[in-house]
Amino acid sequence: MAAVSEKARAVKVGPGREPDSEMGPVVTAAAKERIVGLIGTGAEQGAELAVDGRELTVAGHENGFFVGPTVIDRVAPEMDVYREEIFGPVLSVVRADDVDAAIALINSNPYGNGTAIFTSSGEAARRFQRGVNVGMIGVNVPIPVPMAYYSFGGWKDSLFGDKHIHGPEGVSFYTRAKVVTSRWPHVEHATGASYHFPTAT
Amino acid sequence: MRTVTHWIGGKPATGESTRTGPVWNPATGEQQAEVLLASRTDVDAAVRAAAAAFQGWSQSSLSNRTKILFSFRELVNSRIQDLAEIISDEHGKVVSDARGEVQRGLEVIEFACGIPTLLKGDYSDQVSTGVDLFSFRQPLGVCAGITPFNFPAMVPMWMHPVAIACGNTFVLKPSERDPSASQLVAELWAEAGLPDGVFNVVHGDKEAVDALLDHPDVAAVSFVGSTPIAKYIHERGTANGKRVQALGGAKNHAVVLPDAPIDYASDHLVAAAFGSAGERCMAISATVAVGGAATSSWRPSARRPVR
Repeated sequence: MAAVSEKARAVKVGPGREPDSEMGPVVTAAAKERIVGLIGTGAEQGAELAVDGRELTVAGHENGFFVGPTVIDRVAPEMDVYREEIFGPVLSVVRADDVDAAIALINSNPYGNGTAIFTSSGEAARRFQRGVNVGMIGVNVPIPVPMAYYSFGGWKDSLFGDKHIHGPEGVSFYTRAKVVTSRWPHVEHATGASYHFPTAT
Repeated sequence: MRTVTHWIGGKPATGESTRTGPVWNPATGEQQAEVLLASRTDVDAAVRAAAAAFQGWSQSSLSNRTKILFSFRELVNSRIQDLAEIISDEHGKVVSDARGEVQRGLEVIEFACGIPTLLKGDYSDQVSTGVDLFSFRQPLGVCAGITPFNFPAMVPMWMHPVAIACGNTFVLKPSERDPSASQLVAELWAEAGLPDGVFNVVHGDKEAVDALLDHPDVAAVSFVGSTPIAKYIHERGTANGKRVQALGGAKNHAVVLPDAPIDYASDHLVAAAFGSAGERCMAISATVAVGGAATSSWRPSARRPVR
């Protein structure tokens, strides 16, 4: 908590075009309003706002749609900040007794897009990667977006349909297969000779 | 004020609809452009252009398609900074992050350049006396992409390079919040030599989305967005007999065990939670601190930038 809170406070928020900005604004005024409202419900429902980004302003950009990095500690699964996809700079911290409890928590969530584990234990990482009902998993990698030649997609409420995007599943999605069973009975006849490579025609 | 237009049949198109939506600059809170919002007729024009182009494009050789894909890859690569600045101005994310987004899209174009290998079929010789059996894959027709505001270049590039490489034609309906990147992408496809009508862009809101989902000449729909809309797209699209892949929302958990290197883990947690202001479907929005991980002692060290 100490490390995350300290680093969250240090994130440089500013316009996207300024080279030293590390984080820009959210997309619209409505998005900002929704995010700020959700952060408020966290405090009302008993969580602790370890870092509160609601009041952040950026000098010279007072009307920009900025929300500062926010860290909410002691979040419980029934709270709105946990249940809603906030889609803003808000990190909720839930506490669990052991890795199996963490896996159970993740599996009780309706979404199954991505997840990650930070550990030095290969055994814990293996148990995690096999046990979670999630499509994309990172081991000491926080945003495990697969490379283009694998396919991107989640499980459960994170995907409706059968095929993930790009990679082999993308090719499969955008094509349909034909299977041809063919027989060419033996026929006696001559064909005209060609002097070209057959693949060049 | 600048107006963002559609791209139909290889050129900009204004269509019949006069409805428009605002394009904001999120860093200043000011409107910087307006975007046309397509009617059903406008969507129909785009789908017709794509359906007409399918006749030729579906028959073009793999060599020809590959040549165009390699040209497109080079053009996008040479315009990464331009695309990143357009994205940053309309979405708000920092330019370095926007460059990263274009890079991930570029990797899908590179994947699609390998289409001759990807489309290879199977062959079984002499399965019965004098009988051979083989398979091959054919394109579907007009494919549509409906994409979210958070990655205005990358998410469309997850779709159209693969769909087009497979021999389909494409109608993209990008987010109306940050529509301009798709205009530049359309110009780059044209410059790469893609025939008119193979890649089209219509801007719009629910009216345009419903028109695509209901159009009899749209064979498949790819969608990325929130879960309620993904469910809607899947239900309406499949009810109309289309292939649908609809990617929804997320609540991504990062589990931190007590034996994690705490400086490394906290760096990456902060980057994954706050990069792009948390507007990523792969953002880490919940951390599960296991055992003593929440109370680990920590001393500040040299800070690394958020990625």
